[in-house]
Amino acid sequence: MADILIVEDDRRINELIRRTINMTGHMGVPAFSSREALSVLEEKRIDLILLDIGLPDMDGFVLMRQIAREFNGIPVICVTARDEVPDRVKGLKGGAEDYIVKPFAMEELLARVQVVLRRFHKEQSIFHIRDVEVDLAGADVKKGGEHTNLTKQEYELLKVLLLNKNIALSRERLLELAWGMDYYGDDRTVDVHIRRLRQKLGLENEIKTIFRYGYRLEI
Amino acid sequence: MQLWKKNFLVIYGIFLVVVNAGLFLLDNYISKNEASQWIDQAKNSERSIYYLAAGLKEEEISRMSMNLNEAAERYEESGVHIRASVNGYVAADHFPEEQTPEEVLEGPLIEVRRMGGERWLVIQEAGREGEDLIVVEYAQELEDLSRIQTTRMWIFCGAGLVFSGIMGLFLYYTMRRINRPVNQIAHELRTPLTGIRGYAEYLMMGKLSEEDRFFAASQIVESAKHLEDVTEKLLIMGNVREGAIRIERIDIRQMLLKLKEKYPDIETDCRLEFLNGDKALVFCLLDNLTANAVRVGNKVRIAASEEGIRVWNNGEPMDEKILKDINRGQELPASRMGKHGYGIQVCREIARAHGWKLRFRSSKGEGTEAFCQITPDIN
Repeated sequence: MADILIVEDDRRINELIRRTINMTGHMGVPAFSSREALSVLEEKRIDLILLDIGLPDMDGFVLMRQIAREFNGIPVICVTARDEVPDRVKGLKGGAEDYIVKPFAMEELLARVQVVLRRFHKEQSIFHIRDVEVDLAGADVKKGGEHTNLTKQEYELLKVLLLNKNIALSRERLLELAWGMDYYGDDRTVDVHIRRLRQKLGLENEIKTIFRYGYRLEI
Repeated sequence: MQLWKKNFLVIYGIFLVVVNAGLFLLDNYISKNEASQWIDQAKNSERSIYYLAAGLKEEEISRMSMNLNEAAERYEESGVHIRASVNGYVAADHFPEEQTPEEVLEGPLIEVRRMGGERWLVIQEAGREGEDLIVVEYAQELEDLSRIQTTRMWIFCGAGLVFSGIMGLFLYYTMRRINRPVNQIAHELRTPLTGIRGYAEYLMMGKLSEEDRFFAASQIVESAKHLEDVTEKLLIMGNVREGAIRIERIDIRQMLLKLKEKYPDIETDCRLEFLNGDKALVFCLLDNLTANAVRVGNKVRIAASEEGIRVWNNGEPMDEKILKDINRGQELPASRMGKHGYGIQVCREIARAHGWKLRFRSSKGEGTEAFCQITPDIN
């Protein structure tokens, strides 16, 4: 679980990001100005910063440089409405790990957050769901302390569900994430693998079917 | 590259071609005229030498050729070289040595020759006057003409460069100014769009309680309202920019009452009965200024007088730099202006369309005042 500072002056968007991040098990910490962001950073250990560039009291790029100077090592993802190439280049050259342009899909934001957390080794690697223990670092799944006989594809699907826990993923998205972009499977492939996962791990109640959409792992 | 920059480059490229081609043609035309004037003048001079030579009588040719020689010497001082002969007797010879005389044909031959690295206008004429054969060779240095033409060419080049530069800068800043609000509006649209999309996805994907669902739905409604507001302002700005304003007599007292209905807590002080302007736009201007004031302060006062309309609030003052920037007429994004600035750009456009001025004053203790000056400056 990572503590993620959300620096965004629009309260509605800040709350949206916070809620979405909290759903996946991380802890979103809101800040509505650069001053607030700096005071949060002084008081609390932060693993990742989601930074809006257009802040009312300071330019986001300036704040990013100040953070790099005073709180070295905290990765920053720029979240902004500025979509011009010079802004993106300025953001990435200024030390941002990634650059997301508004309006963005929440799924995309979460995926990018995960990637950056993984890069900085701040991603949670061991998950417990009832008597099931999943070690993503060791690629190992145990049920009641016993190793399970999951196939490679079933493990990949479980990993995707875990990394997006409490988020409903469509069948198409699951195919894309667990099988890869090149796979030409149909929705039934996902259904079959989900059924096997439920049976092998006893997660009938945790892996929910979302009617006419997909699945959600609820922890 | 942004589309407007591409447009700028294309327009500027066409402009450069037109301006430079125009200057080139103009220079060419002037030079041709000038050269033909020089040739006419040279022809006249040559003709006068010819007549002078034709007037020489055989019996006094040696005495009278003195006059011709003197005339030729005077010509030489002004860069004109002459050789004249009558029946083979050379009465004057001030022709450049490098110039080898060729067979002189009857009737004048006019040409430009290069001699000793310089350009010369050469006129050669042979003619019969009674029994006498008159031959006149006339050569005039073209250095002066070349110098005048070269200087003019450089002046034209310089003027073309300066003019193109000034026009290019003017065009660039104008196109950027026109384009920038579109960018800013696009940015302002992105925030409510993110809200609508994000909360819809949150509703769709999240495991939510009834309370969460209600919250997300209300945020979608609020974001949609925000979007509606931005598009409304966009339409108004479009109309204002196209000059679609209808001046009429506005009952300002009625308008303030209407505002008071919308914002019941505000104070109004009306010392102006009527105002000439577009009713809908003026209401939009006052509505925006009041909405900003209400958002920031808990005490808001609108005062209308002959001088103008003041909207005051007692809230937190504006940032000094932002205040300076907006009073200088800079277009700032809404995110930089905070609560004070929503729709200020629209207000400024409306004021400008009416020929009014919109200024802001803000300080701690005195609050913030937006002043729309409707009378021209006294000084």
